[in-house]
Amino acid sequence: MTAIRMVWKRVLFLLRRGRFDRDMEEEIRLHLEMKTEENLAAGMPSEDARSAALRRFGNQTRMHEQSREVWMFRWLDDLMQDLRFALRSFRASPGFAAVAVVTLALGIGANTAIFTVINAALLRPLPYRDPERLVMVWNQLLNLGLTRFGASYADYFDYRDQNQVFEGIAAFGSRQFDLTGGAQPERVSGVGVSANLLPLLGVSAAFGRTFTADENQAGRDTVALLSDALWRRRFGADPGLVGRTILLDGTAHTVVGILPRGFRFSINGSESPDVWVPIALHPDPARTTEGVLNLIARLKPGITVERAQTEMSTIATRLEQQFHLYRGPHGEDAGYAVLVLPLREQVFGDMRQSLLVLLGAVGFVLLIACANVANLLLARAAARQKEMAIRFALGASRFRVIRQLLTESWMLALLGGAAGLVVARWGLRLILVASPSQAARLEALSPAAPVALDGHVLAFTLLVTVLTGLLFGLAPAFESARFTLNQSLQEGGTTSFAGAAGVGGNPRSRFSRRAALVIAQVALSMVLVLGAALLIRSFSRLMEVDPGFNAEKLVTAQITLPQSQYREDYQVAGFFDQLLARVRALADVKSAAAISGLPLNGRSGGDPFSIEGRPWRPTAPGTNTPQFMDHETVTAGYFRTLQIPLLAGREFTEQDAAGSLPVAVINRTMARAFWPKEDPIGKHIMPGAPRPGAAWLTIIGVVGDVKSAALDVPSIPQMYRPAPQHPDRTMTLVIRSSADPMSVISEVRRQLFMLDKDRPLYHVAAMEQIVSDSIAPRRFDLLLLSGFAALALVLAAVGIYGVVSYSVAQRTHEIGVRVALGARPRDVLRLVARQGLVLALAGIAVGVAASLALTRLISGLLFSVRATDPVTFVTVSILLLGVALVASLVPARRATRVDPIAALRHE
Amino acid sequence: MGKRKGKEKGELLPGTLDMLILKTLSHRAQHGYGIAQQIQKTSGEELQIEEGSLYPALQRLQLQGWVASEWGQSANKRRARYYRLTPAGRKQLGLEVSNFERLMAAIARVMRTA
Repeated sequence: MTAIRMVWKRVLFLLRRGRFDRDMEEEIRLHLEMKTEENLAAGMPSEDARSAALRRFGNQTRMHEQSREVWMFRWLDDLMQDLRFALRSFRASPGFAAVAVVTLALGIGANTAIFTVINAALLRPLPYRDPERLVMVWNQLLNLGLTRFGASYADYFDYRDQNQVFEGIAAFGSRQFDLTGGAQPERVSGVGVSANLLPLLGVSAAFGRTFTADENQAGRDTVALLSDALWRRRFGADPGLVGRTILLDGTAHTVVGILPRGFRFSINGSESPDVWVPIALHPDPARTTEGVLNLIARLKPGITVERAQTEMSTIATRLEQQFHLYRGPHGEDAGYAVLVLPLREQVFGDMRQSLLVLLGAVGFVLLIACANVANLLLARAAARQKEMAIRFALGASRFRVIRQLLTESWMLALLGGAAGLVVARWGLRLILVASPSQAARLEALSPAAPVALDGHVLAFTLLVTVLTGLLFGLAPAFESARFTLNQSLQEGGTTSFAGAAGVGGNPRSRFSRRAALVIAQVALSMVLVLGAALLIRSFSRLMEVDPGFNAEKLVTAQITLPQSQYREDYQVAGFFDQLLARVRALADVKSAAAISGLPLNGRSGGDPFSIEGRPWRPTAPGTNTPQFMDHETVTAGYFRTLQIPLLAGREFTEQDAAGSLPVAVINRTMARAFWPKEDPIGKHIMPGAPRPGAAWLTIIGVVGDVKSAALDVPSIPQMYRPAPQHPDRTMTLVIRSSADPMSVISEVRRQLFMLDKDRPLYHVAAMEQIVSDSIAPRRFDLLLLSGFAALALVLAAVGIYGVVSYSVAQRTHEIGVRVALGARPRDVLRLVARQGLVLALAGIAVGVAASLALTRLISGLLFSVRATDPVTFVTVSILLLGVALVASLVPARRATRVDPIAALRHE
Repeated sequence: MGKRKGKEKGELLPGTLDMLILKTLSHRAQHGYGIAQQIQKTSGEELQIEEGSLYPALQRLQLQGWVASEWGQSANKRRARYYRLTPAGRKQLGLEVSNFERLMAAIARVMRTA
């Protein structure tokens, strides 16, 4: 009989158990009857016959059990028994069970919540075919500080034709279009792509088709693909749209297909494009640096990222040696290189550090929770000595007892885990509400199942639950099972101070075990609270940073003028002049202006520039400021509108028109770095390298710095040019109003409509919101870490409370003696509270030591605060000490109310 | 599972109980009591089967598929469970017998050396 058949029979037995028992009983009955008859026939008197038969038979119950055991999965039966017992004992002490389950739920739930976010960002596959083989291919000009920028057309073709490592390499570039010819003009986000991009991602059109290679040519590229969302929203999901034309920036494009529902392409952190058009790609034998293409490639099977990187670096070196294309403005080596970056890194790389820190934090919380539950179990074990004694007396093996206790622990863990899932769901909702921008990023790629509890997460939760159960259950289980029968029965369940040998040793050593746990808890929560405190200080420092302008009641909105309708510079300048004049005339508008790029928009870098009379150097002498500047076009009155202070010279006026002297205004950083001892007014600069025929710009004013990238990034040199002299088709209006800024917008739209009915107003936002959004990621980290730290603190406080209470119970007799001998309530209070404080101090000491080592891990997240900031350390230590004091005082006060007579009688 | 008791009078060699039961059943189907009686009688009262070992052994034999059981009527019209040998059991009996005989012969050889 094969083993499998035997297992199968055993499985079947599970169903037939009742019948088996009845049959067995009947068999035994019959056997005894027949034996009795045999005895009677042999001449025994009738009473003896029966009892002789019974005696002969032996232990019926045992035999029945043994017979049954042949058929059982023994372990299964034991397990069911243990589970039933565990549930019963929890029902008997619901308070203990509730506290344990809640504690575990909080610890496990927090872990699950964070893991869910990590899963969505770092683990879950991106929604493309074989996403782990997709990489971005970036150009780099390392000596100019450019770590990721686009490739030229020439580069694209060279990379495509010369590599051996990619199945395919595709190009794309963000675009924005005015979608007109319908009810309302709408600004839509778009992308220009090479025809092979969508197949590279593994995406085909839901209706119609994607692009063909010949559409990547000028003249054949007036076709478009629409996203499902746009198709539904603006065109009513009309399948007849395929084949019709739409107007993009005034040019007719034929719609050749609609993309599948739910497909997203938010690679560059921007919104998923609604309109897809082909790029006019052309090989560039002249090898200019024309074109700014983002490249995405798919690795061939078996090729690693490292291998691809090596190959592309080789190609880059070869190209540079051949063509010497990438040079700085004065001919110096720009440090051209090529970077191959896995796609996931591109999309989520910046979140990794904070997420891992949060995972560590939440792991600490779980450890603290486990310590609490372990303490609870240890306390309970002390009360169950008699029960253990009886078990051993009935013949249980140590292994069996330990197994039963572990089952109880796992039962608790499972209940805690199930409750933890609920906690996680709520926690996640909170997290996503608290940080909408981060939530948007996570959902941007997978809207169908955004950050949700999926299979991975459940598996993780299960794993954590099992490990947790083992962690807090093992020690108490061994504790309970380690003692001799004699001892526990002798004690009869009492405890006395003078070295009674109860479960697992005397109370003193039991206490020190629990004390050790509490010290560990305090230390762990110290680390967490410190981390949170450092982040809080960083954040408040950040909030204090002066952005360089006044964001109050300022609203911004962007407009782009298409080349097809505004071909000449003067048309562009004229349009904005007229628009601003109208806007300024509106009631409620205090001032209005426009700029080509707002501050705090995450831009970094800049372009090199030249100073007349000086050779170009990589940095200004004596400083670290590179000779790069950010430059923007502004209308007259911009600085006044944003309340950026004018430090020297003058602002732009109407005199600075198209034909007059080319002028520029610079910011203080630039003035200080490059003209530290002279007056920059009157000096001449030029973007890029000096070119014949290009005019030098005369500096006419110096203004205060604004933060162009972010609040925590130092200002870089900045140059402004007047709009009439250097118009930009995309400008952002800035309007300061005396009332609610957003209410002005509808008026502005009306004025815009009157000037040009096809121009949409988009990216409308209050400046204060922009400032707030720029620090959103920090706020996210901060809120979460603070939440966990608070949780840890509460758990640690509960732990201290528990241990001190326990100690009070242990020392009731001693306290009674002291009181009888004349101790005042104050003395008792001090005695007990001191214990808690000593524990806390020990924990704080360990915590400080650990923090000094660990907080440097979050130094990347800090702003203007050192990871070992002494003020923070001292403040947090005092806080923890205070919490410990409160936690100890409650049982201490209880101790003072002990009736000495009762205490003395208490053994 | 209970531990094995020390050797008593009539204590079987370990592992032979199964063989004896199979042999007994090879003649005809029997209920539990009958099997015990049969072995006792045939061995000339030398072998007394402990009931505590008999029924668990019968369960084991059923689990292995060497014995099957069904309810029937005993001689006195009482409901009794009858055990019978299966074809697989018959084969197993043959195996156990030959093993046993080989073992006995080996022991005998050792004991014969003075």
